[in-house]
This record gives sequence, structure tokens and C-alpha cells, in this order.
Amino acid sequence: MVKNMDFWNLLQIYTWKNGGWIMLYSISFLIMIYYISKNKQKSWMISIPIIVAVITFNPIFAKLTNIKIFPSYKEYSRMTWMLFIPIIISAVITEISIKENNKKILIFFAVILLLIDPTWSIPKLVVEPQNTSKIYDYILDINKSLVNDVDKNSNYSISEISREDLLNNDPRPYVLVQSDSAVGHAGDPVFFGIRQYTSKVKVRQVLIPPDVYNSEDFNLAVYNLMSHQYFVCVNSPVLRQQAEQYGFELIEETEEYLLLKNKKSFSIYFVRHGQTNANLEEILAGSGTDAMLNDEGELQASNAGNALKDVQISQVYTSESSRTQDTANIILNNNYSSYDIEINKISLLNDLNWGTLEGKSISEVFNTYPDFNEDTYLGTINDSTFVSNIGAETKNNVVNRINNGLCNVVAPKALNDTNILIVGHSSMQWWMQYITKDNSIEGLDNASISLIEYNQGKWNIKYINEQAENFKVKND
Amino acid sequence: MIKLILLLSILILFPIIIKSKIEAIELPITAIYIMELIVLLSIWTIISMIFTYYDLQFNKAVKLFTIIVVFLFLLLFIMLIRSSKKISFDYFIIDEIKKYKFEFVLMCIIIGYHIFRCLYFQTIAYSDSKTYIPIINDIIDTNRFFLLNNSNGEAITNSNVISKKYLLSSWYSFEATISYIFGIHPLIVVNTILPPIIIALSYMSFWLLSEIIFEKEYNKRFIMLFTIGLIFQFMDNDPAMYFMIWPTWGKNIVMSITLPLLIYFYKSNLNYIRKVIYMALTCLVASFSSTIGVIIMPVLYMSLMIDKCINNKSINIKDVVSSMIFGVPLIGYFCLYMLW
Repeated sequence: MVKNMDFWNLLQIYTWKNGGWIMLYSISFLIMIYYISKNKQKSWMISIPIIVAVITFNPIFAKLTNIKIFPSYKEYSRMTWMLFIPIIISAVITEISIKENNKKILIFFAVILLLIDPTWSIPKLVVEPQNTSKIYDYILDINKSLVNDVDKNSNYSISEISREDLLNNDPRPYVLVQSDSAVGHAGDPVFFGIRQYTSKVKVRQVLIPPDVYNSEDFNLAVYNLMSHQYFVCVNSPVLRQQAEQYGFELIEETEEYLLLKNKKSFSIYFVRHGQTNANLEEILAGSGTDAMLNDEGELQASNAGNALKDVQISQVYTSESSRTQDTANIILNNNYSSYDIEINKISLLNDLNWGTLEGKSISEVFNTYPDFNEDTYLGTINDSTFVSNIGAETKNNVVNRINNGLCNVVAPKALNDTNILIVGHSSMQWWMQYITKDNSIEGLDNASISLIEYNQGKWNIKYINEQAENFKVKND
Repeated sequence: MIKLILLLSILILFPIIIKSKIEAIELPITAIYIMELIVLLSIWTIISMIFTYYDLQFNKAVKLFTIIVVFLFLLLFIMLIRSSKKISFDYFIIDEIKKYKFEFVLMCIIIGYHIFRCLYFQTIAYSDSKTYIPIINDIIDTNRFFLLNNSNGEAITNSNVISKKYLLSSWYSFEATISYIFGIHPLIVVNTILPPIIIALSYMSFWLLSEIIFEKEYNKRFIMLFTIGLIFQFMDNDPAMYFMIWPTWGKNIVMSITLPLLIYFYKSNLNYIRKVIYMALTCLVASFSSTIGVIIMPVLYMSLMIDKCINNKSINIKDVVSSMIFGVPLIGYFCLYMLW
């Protein structure tokens, strides 16, 4: 909003860096009046700026254009272009130098300009070009290698993808670009160097300053590295070592930057915990209720273990609930290959918290909230602004948490081409809906098996909610 | 690159031949050069707005544009062949250049230096280029107008929309057209190929303005262009930044080409109908090159009209009529703005 309609204040703030230009313009303006008296054809050079100033810098017009038309105050200040500053000053200098037949006037003028503004643009904002694209050579090298690799590994043409397909199933890879420092309006040279070069990738930026990545407890994985197909970072041994440790392979190395590609792949066998009495009695038992497996639940877990007995499991993850840990233990007891595998309990895989409904039965819930349904009380998986009025964790929050757990904890530690067992909760279905963009995925049965594949930063759900008997048949 | 050089040669030679052989062309040679760009941009603006609104393919828009432009060139070519006038170069001010060598050389030095600076130096800050060049890139790669978010390349959604001011700017898709037709990467087109052309056209526009100020005093006109170039070199503000460092941005097209051109056309003694058409086309190009053009053009035109009324102490009906025609592109802009 324009707070101060003051004409001179506006000029000083936005048009000139110092009073020298104002003085030069004002003096030229006055001298021009003298010349106009000799040649009325030039009168527009004075009258137009005056008319423009009266029209555009009066409070009514300023308020109207600023609110309705111009996106910012800066746009409004560009009305000063019609004050013809360079034109009036140059016309006056021309008249004086020609009239006096003194070309030294021009040299004198050039000296005046140097005195007014010695900060030439050249040292400040420009350097010698390294190429005709006028982005740095190292960025061009990174771009060329990136595009070559993308072209080699893609079987689609971005120009043939429809708008709907692009929204629902965009095949283009993600590039994570690390920056040492924030650069603001000027634009990160690498991030925008990639965006200016190609549309074949989607780009995300992450700020990791040197004092952070050089610290002892630095962990690159927490920056969502594993969700990306490519990683571009400064040529730092720490960043390179960690990226390679997490399954990235170097594609291009320049003195300044590195381009690495995600080469990791592994499979997750996700098993929902076995039945608990809470499931049987239709009680909402989330992360706030540590329900135990009942007899049926133990049998289900045993069947699941039997179905997975031939699967070579390298790592196991569960939530912090007893029901998932017990299920995992039973599965491992049946598994031929898993000797002394440690079960990793991570809170990121916990079930949602039902808030005030935690521990309540379904009938009690409907008595209190007759209109109860998940979307109304927990929000949708993509709605990050939803706040649950029952104090429950929202679906979006659960999805982000699980995604965080899978991408930032499980994936980095996964060994290449191995199988991981995760025992979790039914809320995992929301993450699956998020990945597949398929809202028809409903419900995960107790001890059902789902197979999720991770390949170079992308998740693919092979099958969902298979019963142990069917799984055994499928894999026999 | 060869295609581009060939086309540039045609675009440079064509106005010279047109000016020589077609008597009806009253414009100075520099105005014809600028009008080449204005006409091309005007045709492209209409095509691109239609194709953008109906979400049609970019390559089809380019094909249509090429057909129309080739057709117009052929028409002009036929007029040239039918003209019995011999080619002459009377309008090249050779005598004046010989007479005012020092001033002419000074002018050439500053223009040459400006072009050299733009060609030889690169900016370390992308600034608005980080928005505009991805837009151009995305149009070519996706073969559609505005499919992707210019910042991160994600698909446009309801919550990830592109600003209307970009949707309603045909200048960037015009640069995409040039890049697409000649198979040259947008970075090279925008940062290396177009700047000298735009800078040359900008100085031509200032040259036309100098005609209004100094008429046939060519020594003064040369010096005026020299001092304009010198001033921009030292001014450390928005207009100078655009002109000296990022001349291919839409705002610079408005400031250094269309604003002086509008004043020239308004004050010139051209045939009334042609004058109105030229001014309307200039307004169209300014409005669809940058949002600032939408406001600056009518304000400037209104100011010119008021100035004329005050000087003549009367209101000219022709001016009122021409202002309505002048306003047509602006009405078109606002209609599109509301529709989108």
C-alpha cells in the first residue's frame, strides 16, 4: 500500500540512489524551460512530465492503481519512466554542447556522471561470460549430464504428456539442489541454472550451509534426499560421502559442484499387525492405546510369517506399539533367513492418535458425533491446513510422518536390492493412497501383506492387502 | 544458426528495399525496422492469446504464425516487384554523417559499447530472468503454454498457479518461438542473440524521438543519443538495469522501444489512419510485453492529448476517435484478464 504519496519521496526512494541525479534532473528541467521559450515544439518535454506527475502521483490515482492494478509498490514507481529523465538531461546537454560549440562539455558531463555515481554497474553485477548461454560453465556441464541421463532413462516425451497425466502421474524425476547460502531475489545460480536450461526435471532446493554439513552429527538423509532421483551439491567430501553411502552414484564432477544419481532399490514387505481385542470390539486404538495381540492376532501373525518364510529379510522396522513388535517377532520366528535381526522401533511409523476419541468404541463415537467420518474429522491426505476438532492427528500429518520415516530413516539405511519387513498400522493405507493417488485403496486387514518397491527415489506399490494364504499361493 | 543469420539478413535488407521502392511508406527507415518487430509481435500476441486460452499446442501456434508472416512477406514482395521505382539510398543521411563525423562516431561508440557490454558480460544475478527463461524453456519443452510452475517445474495446480501477468504476456512466448524455429536454446537466444537486436532497435526508437526534438539538426541528434547512452551507463536504477543488463525483458521493450515510438507517432505528420494503426499496434505490443505497459501507455497517450489540447486551446475530434482505437488493445487485455 502506498503510505506516502509524496512525489519527491517516491523519486528518492525508487529512482535514484542519491540526490545528485535529482539535482541534475531538476537543473536540466529548468534549463529546458529556457530552451522551450525558443522552440515551442519541445514544450511536451516539460508538460508531459508535469501532467504525468499530476495524474499518477496524486493520492486518488496512486491508491487506485496500487490496490487494483499494480502487483507492488515497485511497479507503481515505474511510472517515473514517463518523467523522461535521460531524455531531458541529454537534450539539455546536447543543446549546451552544440550551442557553445564546445565538445569539452561532453567530457565535463561524463566527469559529472562519474562524480554523481561512481558505482558502475560492471563491477557490481557482471563478469566475463564463460559461454553463450551466460550461465557458468560448471552449471552448463551439470545440466548437460543431467539431461543426457534423463533422456537415456526415460521412455516418454514431456511434450506428449497431457495436463491431467502430468498432474496425476508426472514421470519426470526430482532433483534436489543443495545451496550453501540463501541468495534471495538474485536467484540461486545452480537451482535456477537448471530451471533455465531444462524442463525435463522438477527441482527442489535445500539450504545446507557449510557449518552445518561440516558438523559432526550432520545427516544428509533428513533433507529428504531419498525422495529424489538426482542430487546436486557443492563439491564437498562430506556431502559426496554421505550421498554415496545412501546409494547415490556420481555422474558428473566439476570443481564447484557434483551431480549424483539415486541408484538404490529395495523392497518393503509391509504387514499390518495382527488382531487385537480393540479391533474385535471396534475400539479406536491408535498410538495412545497399547493394545496387545489376542490369540487370533497371534495366529494371523504366524500365518503371515509362514507366507514370508522364504523371503530373505535384511532389516525390520516397527512402530513403538507392542502389537507391531509382537507381530514382527512372530514373523521372524518363522523366517528362515533372519537370524538375530534387530527390530528397529521408530515413532514415525506409529499409528495416528485419535485425540479425544482415543480408546472409545465406534458406537460411542457415533453417539457423540453422528456425522462422524474420517474426512470430516481427520481431513484429507492432501489438506495440510486442516485442524481436527477432536484433537486427533490429521491424515495429512500421518502421511507426512510416515513418508518422513520411510524416506529419511528406512530408505537411507536400506541395503541395495534387499527386502525390509515393516510391521505397522492401518493408517499406512493413507500413505499408499498418497503414493498411488488412488483414493479407492481402503482398509488394511490384520496381518495382511503389501509389497512396496523403492527404485531410485520412486515408490511403487506392487500389491496391497494380500492375505497370507493368497500371498503364499502367489509366490509358490 | 545459419537459418537465423539468413533471416536476420532478410529482416535487415527488406526495410531498405521497402523504403526505396514503395512510395506509400512514409516512415523513416529506423521506424520500419522497429515496425517489423511490432508487426511480428502483434500477430504473435493474437495467436498466442487464443492458443493459451484454449490450451492448444505451441508448435501449431508457431506454424500458424509462420504461415501468416510468410504470406505478409510475399505480399510485400509482390508490391516490391510491381513497383517501378529504382532502389535508392537517399534516406541514408550520408552527407550529414560526413559533415558531423565527430558526433556520429561518438554515437556509434556508445551504441557499440552498449552492445559489446551486453554481449560480452554476463550477470551474476539472474533476477527476473530466473522466472522468464524457465517460462520460455517450459513452453518449448512441453509444447504448451504455461503447463509448469516457472520456479520448480512442477505441474500447475489450483494452488500452484501461474500469475496472470505472465499468462497475458506474449513477449516470452515470442522468444520461445524464435528459439523453437531456429533450434537454438532459449538461454542463448535471450542472453546472446536478442540483446544486440533489442538494443539496436531501442536506439532507433530514441533516434525517432530525437527527430521530434531536433528535427533536421543531425549533429544534435547524434549527441543526444550519445548522452542517452552515457546516462544509462551511469544510472543505477531500474530502467538502467533493464536497458544495460537485461534488455530482453518485457519492461525494457516498453520503456526503450514503445514509449519513444508512441511519442514519435503521435507528434509525426503521418497519414491519420496509418498513424492510428501504428499507435494501436504499439499499444498492443506494450500491453502484452509487460503489465506496466497497460498503465503507462494510456497515461502517456492521455498526457500527449492533454498537452496538445492545452497548446491548441481546443479538443481535436480526431484525437478523441484515435484514443478509442488506441484503447482497443487495452480493452482486449482487461477482457482477457477478467476471463482468465
